[in-house]
Amino acid sequence: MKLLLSLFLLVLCLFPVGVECSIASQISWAPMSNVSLIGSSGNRMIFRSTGEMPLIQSPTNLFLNANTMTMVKFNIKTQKSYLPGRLFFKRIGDRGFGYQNSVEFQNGIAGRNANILMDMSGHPNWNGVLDQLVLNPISSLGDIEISDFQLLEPSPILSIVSSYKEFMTFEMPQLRTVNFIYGPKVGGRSVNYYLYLLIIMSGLSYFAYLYLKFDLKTALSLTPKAILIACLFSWVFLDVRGLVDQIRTVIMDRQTYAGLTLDEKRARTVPGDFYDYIKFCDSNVPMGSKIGSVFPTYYYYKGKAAYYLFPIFFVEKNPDYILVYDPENALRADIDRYVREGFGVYAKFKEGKYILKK
Amino acid sequence: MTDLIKLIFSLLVPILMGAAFVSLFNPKKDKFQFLELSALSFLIGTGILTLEMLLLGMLKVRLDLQNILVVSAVVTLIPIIINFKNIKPGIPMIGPVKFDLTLLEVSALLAILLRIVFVLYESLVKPVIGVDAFVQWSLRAKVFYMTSSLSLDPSKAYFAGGGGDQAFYPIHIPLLETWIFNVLGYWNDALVKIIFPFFFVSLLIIFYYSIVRCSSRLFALIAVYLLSSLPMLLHHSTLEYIDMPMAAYFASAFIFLLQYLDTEDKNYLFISGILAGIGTWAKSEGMPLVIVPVLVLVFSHLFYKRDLVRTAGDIGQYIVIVLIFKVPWSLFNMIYKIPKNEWQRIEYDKVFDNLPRIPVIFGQFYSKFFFYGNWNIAWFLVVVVLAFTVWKKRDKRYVYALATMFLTLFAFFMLYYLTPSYRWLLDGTTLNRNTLVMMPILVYFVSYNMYVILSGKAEVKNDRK
Repeated sequence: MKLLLSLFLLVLCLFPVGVECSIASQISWAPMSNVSLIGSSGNRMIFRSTGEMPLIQSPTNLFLNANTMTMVKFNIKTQKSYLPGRLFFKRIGDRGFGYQNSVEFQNGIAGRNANILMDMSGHPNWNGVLDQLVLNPISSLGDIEISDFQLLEPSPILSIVSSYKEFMTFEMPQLRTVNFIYGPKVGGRSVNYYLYLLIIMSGLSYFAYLYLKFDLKTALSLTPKAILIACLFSWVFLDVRGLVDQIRTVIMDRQTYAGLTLDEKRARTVPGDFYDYIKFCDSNVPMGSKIGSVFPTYYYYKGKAAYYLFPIFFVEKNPDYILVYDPENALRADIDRYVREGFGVYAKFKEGKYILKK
Repeated sequence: MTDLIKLIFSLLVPILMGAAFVSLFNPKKDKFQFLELSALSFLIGTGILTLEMLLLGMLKVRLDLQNILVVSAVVTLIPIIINFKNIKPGIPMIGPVKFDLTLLEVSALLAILLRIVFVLYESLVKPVIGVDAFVQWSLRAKVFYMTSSLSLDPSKAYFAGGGGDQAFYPIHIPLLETWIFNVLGYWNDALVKIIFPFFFVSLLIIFYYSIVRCSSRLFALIAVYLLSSLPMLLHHSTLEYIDMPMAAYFASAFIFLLQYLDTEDKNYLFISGILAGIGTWAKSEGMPLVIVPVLVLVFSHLFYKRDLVRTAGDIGQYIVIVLIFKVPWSLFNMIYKIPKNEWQRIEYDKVFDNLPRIPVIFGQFYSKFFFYGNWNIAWFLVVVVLAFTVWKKRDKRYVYALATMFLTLFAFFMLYYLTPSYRWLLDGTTLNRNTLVMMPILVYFVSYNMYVILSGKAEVKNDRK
């Protein structure tokens, strides 16, 4: 009893020590692109995102030692649930920012403060002296509130908390989830690894204990049962963790789809206003027409268009109409090719989004 | 509300069709409990319904609700007429309902029901989003519905429903979706996804009854909980992909084959053959996978029964039944000269050139099975169970399940070793989707052996008639 009480008091003492004695560096932010600052008080800043990829930047010349300040901690509140954000970092000597010098994090439930704590010690490029940070808080329109952004030195409690947060990170269902699911991780490693180690070590220990206390026959008889029960408990443990993600998925899908009409739901399954553009095409192109397309290649625009537009269908040669969806004005060369063949604007949805006809 | 009633009707029709055909193999109505019969009827009835739609389409009969219903009624009458003398009124084997569940049983049941509710909600709340669905299966379903035909003009852009260079893919699920659109009266790619939770629940029910007959109710519920909590299976049950229905057919075919090998009742062999046959009609991998139950039959008779004539007869009957479902689509492919599946073209000339693939394939198996979040710790459990049991006296159920698992895994190994599908292994696209079909059998193997080890029973009896 005394031993338990002592351990409890020790943990209690460690907690404030773990937090308060870490050296911390507060980071302030300024708008960089697709975002404007709409309010601030103390270390709390509110931004309004005006584009799909808002970026905010820290001051330059931070001169922070990445080798010692390996914990990133901040609070963030957004208007969409569970969407990813990304923190980019540039060290002294780096030419610029890049994905290899970044880490993804996950926002929490819309409208609620999410406490982000990331252990960067495992990141291969988090070293040297940090010059500047850039934050893409979320890829969505809306207001973003960021407060208490700090870089900290690690402590046992912070490591435990960041490991827990890593374990509980929501693996949001994406298109690739149909092929594989990463599963929860701790320290960048699958939790399964730790469970296997635990089961094997416990099994061997139990076997040794039974063998020493009783005999080989008893050990061989009881150890398999104990290991199987341990496996069952591990299964339930992983499953409960999976259940948390399933509940989050339901919350997210309910926010996205519940109460909408079928058309509105379909619009939510494609990026931007592409579905509205498809509906525009559907009402302007006669049924049975043969169409070609000029679409960006980074998403399944053509596949989706073919799916929604049938019985208007795509052809490789001699189309009657050309559907042009060029939101980033990057497909001019392809559009001009059709213009040279005699196609002109037949109907316009928005800038960069129209229908060509010969 | 109207849509709900129509949906129920759209599911009841194949269930009733399936029940009529299942009654051929269950003349005394003593083989199946009500829920099991319903699940089996759904699996079989959907296969018969879509096969009938394929044949109608090939004969250029308009695929509208009226025509499908009339022909379905005629088709359903056939087994009823054949079995007329044995027909008994009433629903089979519904006894008094007992609520004597223990706390553990209630917990397991609640966990399972939670998963079913999750699957139902996630399926119905959103429309089709899967890439393979909107470029192929769901697109073809829409084309079949809107043209009320199989779109049989090869010169047209949407010949055989579209699907581009994947037109060879069997169209069981697209036709099932077409049927539902016909009943609904409009194209609704959200509500049509109701079929996938039904495949999921049917699999769970058949799995439950296979385990409960050779263990306890508690253990059967735990086994079903383990199966229902596999993350990848759960995710696929919310989607419009073919992999989970294929798993339902393949696993059910295995379960009823096992029943045949236990009881020597030919009816189970025929049911297994039908389910394996519908598997070939659901997914192109279904046909190569038929080799697995055929080899298990060969194995069982050569090493246990030692009756070559009977073995040959059983295999012949099995293959004939499978071909009933396979041949029409193969004929369609031949008549319309649809290019074959290049991804599954066997590269015999590269048997030795592909040797460097072996460690890569094993590496992918190892990492994806043991250290990803797809299968919980199911594969680790297989290793644990094997470690404890492989050196002991094994019963037939153990041997057959292990043989099925091993042969299926070997089949996928050879798929990646000898065909261009290796490319889809490297980017992580197909391994888990392919091995999904064998996971119910893996969970069966693990659960059954866990019961034997934990209960201390050396051999478990099967009380199925």
